[in-house]
Amino acid sequence: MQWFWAKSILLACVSSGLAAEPPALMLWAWEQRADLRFLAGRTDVGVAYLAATAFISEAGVRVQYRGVPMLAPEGMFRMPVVRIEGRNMPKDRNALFNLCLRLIGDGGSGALQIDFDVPMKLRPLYEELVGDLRKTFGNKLHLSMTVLAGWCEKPWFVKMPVDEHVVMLFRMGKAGRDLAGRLEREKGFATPACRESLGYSTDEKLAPKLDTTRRYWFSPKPWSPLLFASLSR
Amino acid sequence: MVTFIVRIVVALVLAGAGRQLYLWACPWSASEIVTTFARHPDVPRTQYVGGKLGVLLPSFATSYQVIAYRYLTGVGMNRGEQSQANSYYLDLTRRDPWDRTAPDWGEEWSKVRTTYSTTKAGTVKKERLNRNNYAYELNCAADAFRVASFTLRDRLKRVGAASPFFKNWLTGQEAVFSNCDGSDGDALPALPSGAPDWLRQDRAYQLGARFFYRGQAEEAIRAFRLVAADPKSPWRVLARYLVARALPREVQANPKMSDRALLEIDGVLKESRLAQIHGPVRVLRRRNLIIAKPEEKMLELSAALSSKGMDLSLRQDLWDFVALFDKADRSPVTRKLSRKQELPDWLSVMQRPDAESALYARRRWQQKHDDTWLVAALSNAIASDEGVELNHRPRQRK
Repeated sequence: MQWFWAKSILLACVSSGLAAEPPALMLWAWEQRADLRFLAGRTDVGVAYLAATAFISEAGVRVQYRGVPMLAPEGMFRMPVVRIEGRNMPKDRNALFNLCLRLIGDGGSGALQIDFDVPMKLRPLYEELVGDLRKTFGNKLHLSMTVLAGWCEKPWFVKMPVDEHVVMLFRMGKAGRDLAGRLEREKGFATPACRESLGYSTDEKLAPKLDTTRRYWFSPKPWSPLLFASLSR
Repeated sequence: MVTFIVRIVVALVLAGAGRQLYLWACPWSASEIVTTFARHPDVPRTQYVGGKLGVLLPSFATSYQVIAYRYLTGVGMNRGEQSQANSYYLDLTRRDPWDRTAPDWGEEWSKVRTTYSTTKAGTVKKERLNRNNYAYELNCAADAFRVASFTLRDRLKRVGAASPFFKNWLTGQEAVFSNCDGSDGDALPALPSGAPDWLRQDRAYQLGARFFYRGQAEEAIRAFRLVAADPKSPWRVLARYLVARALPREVQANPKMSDRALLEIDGVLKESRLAQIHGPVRVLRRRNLIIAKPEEKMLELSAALSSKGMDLSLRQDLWDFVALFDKADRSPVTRKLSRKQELPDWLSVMQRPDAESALYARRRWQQKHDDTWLVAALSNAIASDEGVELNHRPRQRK
C-alpha cells in the first residue's frame, strides 16, 4: 500500500501533462565535474547527465550514484541517465525499476535515458524494465535509450516502448570505419528508429554528420565555451 | 613446376622488400605501436610514484602532476610518502569506496531487520540528492548501520522479539533510516505506555537522528543537546559528537555557519572527558575548514604537499587538495589566488594550454631557470612560437 502511494505521488510530481521533449542539441555530462552555466539563456541546448550506474550481477544490483557536481543554468532541460553494466541476470529484478523511479523523481524533468549495452541474454530483462516504466508513467515520461550502432543492422529494439533511440556513432570498435563509410554513402541508416537521434563524440571525426532530429554530444573533456563552440564547426 | 616455384620465391622477396620500403618511409619502426594514457602515466603507477616520470603530459590528472612537481622541485617522495600515494590510488581504483576491510554494515542491518520486522524488507537508500548540483551525497554512513545493528541485538537480548517495546524500537529505527534518501521519511511511532528508560533514551536519540538525516540541522542539534545533557543516557557522548557534526553539514549550505561550527568543535576538543570522540572531531574540524575556507585550506595543503616529511598525511592531503583544486573555478580571481603559491600556479599553467599560459610559463622559466617551469614552458609551446630558448641550465642540487 505504501508503495502504491509512493508511485502515485511520484507520478503526480513528474508531470501533469505530456512529457517534455528534449531540445535538438543535448550534451552528455558523464563521470566528471560539469559546469554548463555558460549556456545560460540557451533553451535550445539540454543536458543528459549520468545520474547513476547500476552494476548488475547474479548477486543483485549495486548502484553507484553520481558523485561529482553537474551545474546547469536555470531552465536548462536536464535528463538523468542511468547506465547499466553487467552480463548476468540479477536475482532482484525490481531493484532496477526502483532505481529508475528514483532517478525520474530526482531529475524532475519527466525524462530518463537508459544506457545499457545489453547482452543478448539480458534483452528480456531490458524489455521488461522499459515496459514496466511505460506502464507506470504512460506518456508522462520521455523515455530515451541509447543504441549501439551495430544494433541498427538487426534492429531488435524497435518494438520497445521508448520515445527515442539514440544511436551512438562513436567508440564503434573495429567495424566503425566500414560503418562510417556506409553511412556516408547511404546518408544514414535504413531503419527509421536509427535516424531520429544520433550521438557523437567531440574527439572523434569518424562518423559523418547526418541529418537528424536531435544530436547528442559526448566529450571526454569537461565542457567549456570553447569546446561547445567547436560543435558548430 | 620450377617456374612456378621461382615465381613464388620472387613474389615473396618482392613482398618483403615492399614491406621494408614501407617501413623505411616512416620515421620510426611501424611494427611497434606506442600508445599513451591521457589521464595517467604508464602502468604500473608505482614506477611513476617512485620517480620514473617519463613524459609528463598536461592532460594528467592533478594528483600525478603534484607528484611530478615534488620530483621536479627536488622534494621527491620517500618510501613512506610513496606508500601514502599508492594508497591514494588504491582508494580511487576500487569500485567500493575506501578500503572495504570492514563488513558491509548497511547489508548487515538489512539482514537483521528483515528477521524481526513485520514490514516489507528493502535496502536502505543511503544517498541523498544535492539539488543544487545533481550529485548524490552519502547521508547515512556505515557507522550508523553498525550502531543500529549492535543496538538491535542488545535490545533483543534484553526484552525478546515479542516485546512491544522491542517492536516499537525497531519501527522507530526503520523510520529513522527511511529519511536517508532525503525524502519525507516515516514519522517516529509514539512510545507505548509504561515504556522503560532504555526505550525513552533510545527514542530521544532516534529523534535527533531523524532530524539529522532529514537535513534539519537546528532541530537535530536541539535534540542531541538534550540527549547529551542526560547523564543516564548511553548516547550522551555520541550525541555531543553529533551536535558538532550537524553544524559542519550546515556549513556546506551556508558557509557563514563556519565560525559557529568551529566554536562547537573546539568546545568538544577542550573537554577531556570527551577524549574518546576527539579523533573524529578533529577530522570534522579539517572538513569544516575545507568547506568554509577552501582557498585558505588549498594554499595550506599546497604548502604541505610541496614539502618533505609527508609520510603520515600525504594520502589525505592529496585527497583534499585535489578535491579543492579541481573544484576551484578557473576565474581570474582564482588564478590570482593560485599565483600566491608555486604548486597551484604551476598546475594551473600546466592544465590550461593557451597563449597566456605559454607566455607566463616562459617568463617564469626565464626568471627561475628550474625544471618545473621548463616543463610547463615546453608543454605549452607550439611550433610557431618564436624566441623559445632551450639552453636550459639545470639547477644545482645538493
